Amino acid sequence: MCELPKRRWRSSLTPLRLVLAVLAVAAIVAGWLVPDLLSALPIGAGLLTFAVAVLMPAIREIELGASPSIKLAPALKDREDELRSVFERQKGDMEYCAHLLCDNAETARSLLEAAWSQSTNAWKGPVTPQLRVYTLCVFVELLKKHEHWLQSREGKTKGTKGPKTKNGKSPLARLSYDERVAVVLHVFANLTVGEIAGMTDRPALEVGKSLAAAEEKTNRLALEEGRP
Amino acid sequence: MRDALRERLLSEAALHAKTNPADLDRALGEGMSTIRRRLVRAWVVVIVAAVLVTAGLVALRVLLDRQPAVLESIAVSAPASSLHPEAILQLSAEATYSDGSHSPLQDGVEWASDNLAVAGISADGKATAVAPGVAGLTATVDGVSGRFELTVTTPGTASLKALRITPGDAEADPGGKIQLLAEGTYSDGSLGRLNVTAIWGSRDPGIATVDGDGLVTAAAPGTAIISASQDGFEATARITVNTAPPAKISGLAIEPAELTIKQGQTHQMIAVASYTDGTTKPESSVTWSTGNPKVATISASGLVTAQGLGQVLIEAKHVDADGTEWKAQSKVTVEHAVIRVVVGPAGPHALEPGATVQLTATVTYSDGKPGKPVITWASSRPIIASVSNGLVRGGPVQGQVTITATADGVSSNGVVVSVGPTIPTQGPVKG
Repeated sequence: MCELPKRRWRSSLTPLRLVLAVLAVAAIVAGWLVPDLLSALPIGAGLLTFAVAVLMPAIREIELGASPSIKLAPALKDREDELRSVFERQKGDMEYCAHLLCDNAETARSLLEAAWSQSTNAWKGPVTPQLRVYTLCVFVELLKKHEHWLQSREGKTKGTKGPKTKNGKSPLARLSYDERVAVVLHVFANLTVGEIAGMTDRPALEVGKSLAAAEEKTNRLALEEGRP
Repeated sequence: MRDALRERLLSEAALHAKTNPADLDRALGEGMSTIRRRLVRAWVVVIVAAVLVTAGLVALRVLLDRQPAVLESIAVSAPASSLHPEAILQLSAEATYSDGSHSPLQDGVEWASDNLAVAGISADGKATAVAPGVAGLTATVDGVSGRFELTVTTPGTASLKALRITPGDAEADPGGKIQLLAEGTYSDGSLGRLNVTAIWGSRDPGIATVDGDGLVTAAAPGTAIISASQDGFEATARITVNTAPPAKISGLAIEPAELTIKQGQTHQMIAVASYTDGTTKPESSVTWSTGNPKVATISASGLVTAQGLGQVLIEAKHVDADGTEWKAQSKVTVEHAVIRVVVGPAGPHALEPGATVQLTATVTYSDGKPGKPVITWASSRPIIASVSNGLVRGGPVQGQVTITATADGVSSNGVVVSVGPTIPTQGPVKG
């Protein structure tokens, strides 16, 4: 289960917005004291102020993080630029992981693009280093679904612990799915056992066992390949 | 993991990444467009919610402003403020509310008099003068009261200035009654009831009559002028007697309501309609039906024919001009019928005057069984021989008669009886 950072409502309540909210409520209360249809003016103004000056900026900040722009379009552009900058920095690293986890290069590319798209959509608030872990998590989930889909399509329902990777040329193809995910995320993405466990919904102990098994298999593989 | 393997895996991954580079811009664009749509949706929801809440609050505010106004005062008024004893005055009450509006009060007004010895007041606000003096009449609603001061003057202290009859125009059906009121206005402004003292008369007594107290009785359609006069003043009222509305059917019955007939016999049923004017008359436009045609059938004209033993309900249905359906029922019981009566001994019989012979009648019913119905005996010439309960007695006159028996209209065979002196039969001659 890929976890997103918690939404921080309180941080969006800036002093300016609080003042505007108080003014809006005051206008609504004042409108209540005005007789008949004339009350529509202050009440409407108060509610509109509350919506436009307090609620909508707060929602925008929760969704996109702090932005110097008041308008929506520039704020979206700022957000896009910020995400692009971060993803660009992580791109090489992410592509390695994607191709190490998936033998089919085309599939790995598609799944990575989907993971970026979903992360862009789901990530709320300021961009932190945790975005990389989240994107990897989304990728692993998409890969798992893809492998399941492949298995069900091919009628192979033997796997119990997780989707089997296809036998390809990569030495990692000899590992089970869980072992491969554990070793790639640990060795190449530098994630801790705890992070991998949280990402794959598995106990840390099992992840550790998968890592040990993967290390053993890859070492044996290296020895075999080192023979003349 | 050994470094060599690690390097090899990385180089393979790098090769794959180079041959299949991921398109970050496209992925980012898709994600951002989803965010854009979501935010626009949120904006729309917020604006619509703000507008709806504004509308709701304003509507609530307007509704609260329009709470019913509070009753503040009641004003009581009347056509006059002084009456002669026995005169009646209709008071009216008008409410004034906190928003400045006025409206007449109809229901829920409590009327009261603070001096019943001078004037009383009914629940509908009619004040009746009793004796000279001053009385305060109040109308109260929800604790708010209005007062009217009524003066009852001493008779004879003022002269009559005008006379009028109320109602001035009225309608009645023939036979209906209308109470008129003769009111006099006196020089001191007071009103007096003059029904008893005024002289009443009808200019069209064939249409309506009036008694000495102003009670009009409608007689025939038309318009009658009723007058009242006193002290040289005269007032009239126009009474219109309406044409009596056509009587309508108020009920339907079948005559007879119960009927017992013999098998094979017939009977004519009659449907009788009752009218609102109390009259009744046979109704021919009737649809007849039987509850069981095996017991009795009925023709379109209402002729019942008994078919089999038992009871059956015969129904008549009539639909009047208004479309109202009227129904009536009659219970018909069908009994066995006599089919044959045989008198025996068959005879002929010879009787001396005063002598008797007993005859018996055997009756056979339609179901083949014998019975004992009421039998009527008859002699063709009772002076020669009479018959009672089958006992035939020779009379003083000689001759021959035929005796018959009848049961339920079926006659028996005739038995011949001769009456006369007995002639000795010729015997052997003794030597």
